Amino acid sequence: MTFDLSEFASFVDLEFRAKFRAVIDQISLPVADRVDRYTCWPGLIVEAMDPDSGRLTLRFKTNPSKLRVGEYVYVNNLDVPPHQVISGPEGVIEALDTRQGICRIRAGYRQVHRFLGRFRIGQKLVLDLTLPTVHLNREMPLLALRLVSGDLGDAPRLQRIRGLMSGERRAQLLEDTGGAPGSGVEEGDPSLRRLTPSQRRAFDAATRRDFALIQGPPGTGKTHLLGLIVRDFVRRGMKVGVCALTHHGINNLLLECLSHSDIPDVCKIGGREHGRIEGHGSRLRLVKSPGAYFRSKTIPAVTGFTQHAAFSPVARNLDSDAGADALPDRFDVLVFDEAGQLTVPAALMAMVQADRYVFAGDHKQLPPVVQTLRPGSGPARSVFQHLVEQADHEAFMLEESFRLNDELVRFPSEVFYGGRLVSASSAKARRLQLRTNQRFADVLSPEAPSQLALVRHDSRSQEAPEEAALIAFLVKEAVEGGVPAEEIAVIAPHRRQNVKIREFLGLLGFHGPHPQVDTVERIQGQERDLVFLSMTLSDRDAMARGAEFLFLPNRFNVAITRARKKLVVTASPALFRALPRPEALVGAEPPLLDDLNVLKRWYFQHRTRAVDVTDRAFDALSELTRLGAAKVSPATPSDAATRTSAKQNSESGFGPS
Amino acid sequence: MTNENSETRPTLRPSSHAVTGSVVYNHFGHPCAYRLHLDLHGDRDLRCEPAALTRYFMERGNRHEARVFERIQKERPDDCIAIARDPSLPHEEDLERRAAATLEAMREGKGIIFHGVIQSEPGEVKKIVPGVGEEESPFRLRGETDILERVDGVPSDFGDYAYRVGDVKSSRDAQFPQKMQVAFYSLVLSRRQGAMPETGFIQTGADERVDFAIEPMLWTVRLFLEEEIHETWEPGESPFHLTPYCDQCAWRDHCREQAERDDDLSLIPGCRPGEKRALLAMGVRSRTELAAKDDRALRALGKSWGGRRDGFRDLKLRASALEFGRPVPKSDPGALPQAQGGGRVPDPASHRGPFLLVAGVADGFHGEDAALAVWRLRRDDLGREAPTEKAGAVIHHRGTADQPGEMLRRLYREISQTNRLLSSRRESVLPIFLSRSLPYRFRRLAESLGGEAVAARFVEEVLCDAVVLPEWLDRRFHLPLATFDVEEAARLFGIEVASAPPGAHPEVAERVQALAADFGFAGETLCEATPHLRRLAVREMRDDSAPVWRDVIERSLLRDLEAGARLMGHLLKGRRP
Repeated sequence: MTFDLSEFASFVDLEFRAKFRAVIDQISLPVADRVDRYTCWPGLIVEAMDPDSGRLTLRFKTNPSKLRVGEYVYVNNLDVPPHQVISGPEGVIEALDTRQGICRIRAGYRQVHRFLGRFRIGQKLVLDLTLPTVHLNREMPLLALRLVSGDLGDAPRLQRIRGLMSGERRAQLLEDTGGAPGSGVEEGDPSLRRLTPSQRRAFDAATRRDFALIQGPPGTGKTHLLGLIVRDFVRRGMKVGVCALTHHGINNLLLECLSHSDIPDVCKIGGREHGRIEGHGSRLRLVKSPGAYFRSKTIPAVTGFTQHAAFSPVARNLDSDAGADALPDRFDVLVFDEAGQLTVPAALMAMVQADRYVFAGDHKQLPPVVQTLRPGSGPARSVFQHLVEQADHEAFMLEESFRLNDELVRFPSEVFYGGRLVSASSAKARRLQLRTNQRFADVLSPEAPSQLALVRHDSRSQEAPEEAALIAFLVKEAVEGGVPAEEIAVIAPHRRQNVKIREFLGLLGFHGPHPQVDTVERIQGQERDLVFLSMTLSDRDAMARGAEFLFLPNRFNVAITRARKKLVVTASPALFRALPRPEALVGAEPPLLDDLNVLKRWYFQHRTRAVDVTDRAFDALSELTRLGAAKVSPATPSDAATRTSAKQNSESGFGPS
Repeated sequence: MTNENSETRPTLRPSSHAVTGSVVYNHFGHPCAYRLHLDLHGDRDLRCEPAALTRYFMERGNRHEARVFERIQKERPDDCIAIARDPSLPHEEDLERRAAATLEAMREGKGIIFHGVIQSEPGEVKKIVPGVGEEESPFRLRGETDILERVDGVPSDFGDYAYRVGDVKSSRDAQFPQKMQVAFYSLVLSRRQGAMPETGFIQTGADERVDFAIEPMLWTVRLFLEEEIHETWEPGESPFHLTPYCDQCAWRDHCREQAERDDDLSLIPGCRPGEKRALLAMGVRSRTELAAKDDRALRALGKSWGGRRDGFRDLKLRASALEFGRPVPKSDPGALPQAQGGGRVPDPASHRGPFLLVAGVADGFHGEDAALAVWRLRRDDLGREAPTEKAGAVIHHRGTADQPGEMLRRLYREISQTNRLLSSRRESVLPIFLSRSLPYRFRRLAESLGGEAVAARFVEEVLCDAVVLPEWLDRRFHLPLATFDVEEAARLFGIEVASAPPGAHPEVAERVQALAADFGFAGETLCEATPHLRRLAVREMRDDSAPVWRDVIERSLLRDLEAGARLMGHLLKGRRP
């Protein structure tokens, strides 16, 4: 297979132009349209300020946006003209209390002075999500592609990278490549003995070869394993670079590394907030700028960085006459986490830093976020997917899930992992413990870890109030039955549905951050005992228009594998009859049909044990309406018809029980 | 069924309760729950003749089928058998006879069986589709196939061979409803022969055989048979919803009569089924009632329903537009519409450079057969007539099978070359597409030619900075138009196109009459309706190189350009960037 770099260059250019256009949009749209896109939160009122620390306390009634704690925002007066939004000072949302209606903003890095004197008590403000400037940078990935192509000098490392990406070069044992295995983690080490057989195979491959792919399906302990692999490298005296798509991902892996006391020092480059990673004393160093780090002669055992931080010193050297001959020798090995979400150009930017690589990811979960192409297709595929499917490298799959019990693991294993994924013995028999037996006992029953609850509606696209109401009451009943709210998560495909669910949960007394209510993208990597998945959709046209994104099997895989003990999926039967636009189904083997068939297969597996809760969902909606929820009309004739039909079904014995 | 606003509706007699390939095809072609109900339970006497153009296409299809059969018979003279209809027998009896004959032919191992009938035995449907309910168990599943083809080496109840299903269609591509029909037949066939066919095929109008796997289709077939059919027993109140696709339906007269009688909400252009149901729940049962409803109440309903806040108020205004037969301005256009690639769309009112009006007709799913006409003109030229007499008007003829992307390339070149010329003046040309479907089809064509990356580039470089006239108009006016036609839209604003309609040309009328005599449809009706005439011409152009069809398309596109230019001139009159 040839490795066509021009295809990726074209893709980088397209993505940049699309993102640039989105940025122009955002800074030229009026408030109402920015609110529609969930990036704007208008109408907060200044209640208190501390200009010295750059903190604002704001009061609000509702949050119509997707802004959360940790998000960076532009802070402006409410009547700011759209084109001046990005000129406002930047802050970070430090705290958010929906019950009290209080939001606290802290001035961003080097922004305190911009807060001074700008605001006053009682002023009405608007918060806008800040723009992702780093992703607008097209030059670095294009330069990286040129470098790897050999245009700027064809160093052996670049030839190796091309070889790996095209599949012509295969993984080699470290002894063969001249790297002595040294004395890594000893055989008798307890952490090695605790590894499962598949983890052990992956560990051996990663530590004994110059290149390894580790596929980590949900809950298989990939990050934990990577920590051990890094430990092994460090004990051999190697300098390790750790790279991931997000700072959150890098921090998670660095935390794992810090849990091993024989890793003497860890450095993290960049990132505005470090969260849990802070507070590790002298073993951890946080460096704001890549330049400062790469100029330093001291090389820590482990360094974490994004691909941009990795490439910036290389790019600077390329400007000099050294060209490709000046590739750095700082790291002996690079470990990539979240490689299933990293595009090929992004990965190449970091790969030029070393000669050996470990890629850990899962191309069956969420693909890279792109704007112009179908996710996961063509040059939009992840580096992990590319290495497995295009370059045909062997991936060592972790086969034991410590998250999913024996029922929950069944469908993803069969459909996504060739039947190889099994529930680890510690997880197999896990079941939800519920004390009470109330009106949703049949839905919440621990005996059915994977449960479909049917709510018959149609013409719902971004919001299904009846499902939202149902889920609010299911959460309430689960919490009353002994499931902690922090062990519950709710997932819905659309932010509008999430907003509705949060609104209803608020009416039932749930005001804090738990249960978490979010989209699939934000929930990837997390797990809870009990997960509710509100599918929401039933409008045929909306489903046809959004089929490429909404029904991506990878998204569904992530959604149904967050639960440790129980998953409840609420959906209208109409969802499972979704079809894409006719034009997308022309030809012999349309891929979109395969995508939808994953959903249909899941439905067939769960249909016979499904519970029809249409009546109870509408009752829940009526109750919440009486409680003063959003003014929702309780029933439409089709709903009434389907409710009657559902009742007839259950009386006649026909249909899902 | 009764409606308090109307007299009692006629009772529908149950049909033979057979689910046929046509029922499956119709459902997946243009889904309509009421049509499904009528197909299964309706009185056949209420069905009407197909529309003229539909009859033409059906007859074309029959002739194409006959040509294919003839060719196969020539290739395999000793291996074919045709199970012909016997018009002297009652329909059901003839079907039973043909089913028995088909089974016999399969047992004999015939290589090709034309027009074979396969069906489930009474009470057998649960064995074929286990999830079917008791109410549906008396149903029979029946297929009148085009081709049953023997496949050797596949064990079945017949021996060391089995059969698979093929269907002959006159369309250029193998389309999803056709494949569903074949998958349905395959399901029934699996019961008769004890083996599920792995593949089926469509013999297309482009004379290609498209093979496809059956298994991926079966999930959808089963859901249809087990669930959607069950829901047809109770159609509910006001179950129909008129759409432009109703023209092709055999029940259209029945539904239209009901709609007119009830002053149905679906008569309002753009009214969606969910919106109609929400209005019915609110007690708004007719257009008249909607027109009388309070705006505030409609806003509250829109908000609670989860749609656009002013969605129902807009419907009300659209109903008014329909009643008065003229456009009603919208008070608040809101944000400009997004182009297909996302992002904002330039506003012609504030555009400084020239405009490029793009009219076209694209046939085929991906727009392979396209005829394109563009007119480049400055703001001051808007409002003029007859673009062919002015500089900048270019007519491109249709793309061919050898050069499927030619129209797309010409459009792209036109835009990029013009922009290059204008760059020194810091201007650019603003493409204005005069129909909704053209940009979409061109995008699909770009994708089929060069993959998603090429399509994305086309979107980025052409569509993102283009205006789609019907969408632009829709943001500003409620138009009483079920489907957008630029000439019709211009007429609503008091503009009559000056150039002669294509149907008026003597040679065109003569040619259409000849076709009408041959295929049995009303030629006069077709000549009067330019969109239908254009559709006919695109099809005829494939097989018949007579210049008259090219003329029809050229003339109709020139009319579109004139209508578009004069409409834009009218709307932008006095408005300077």
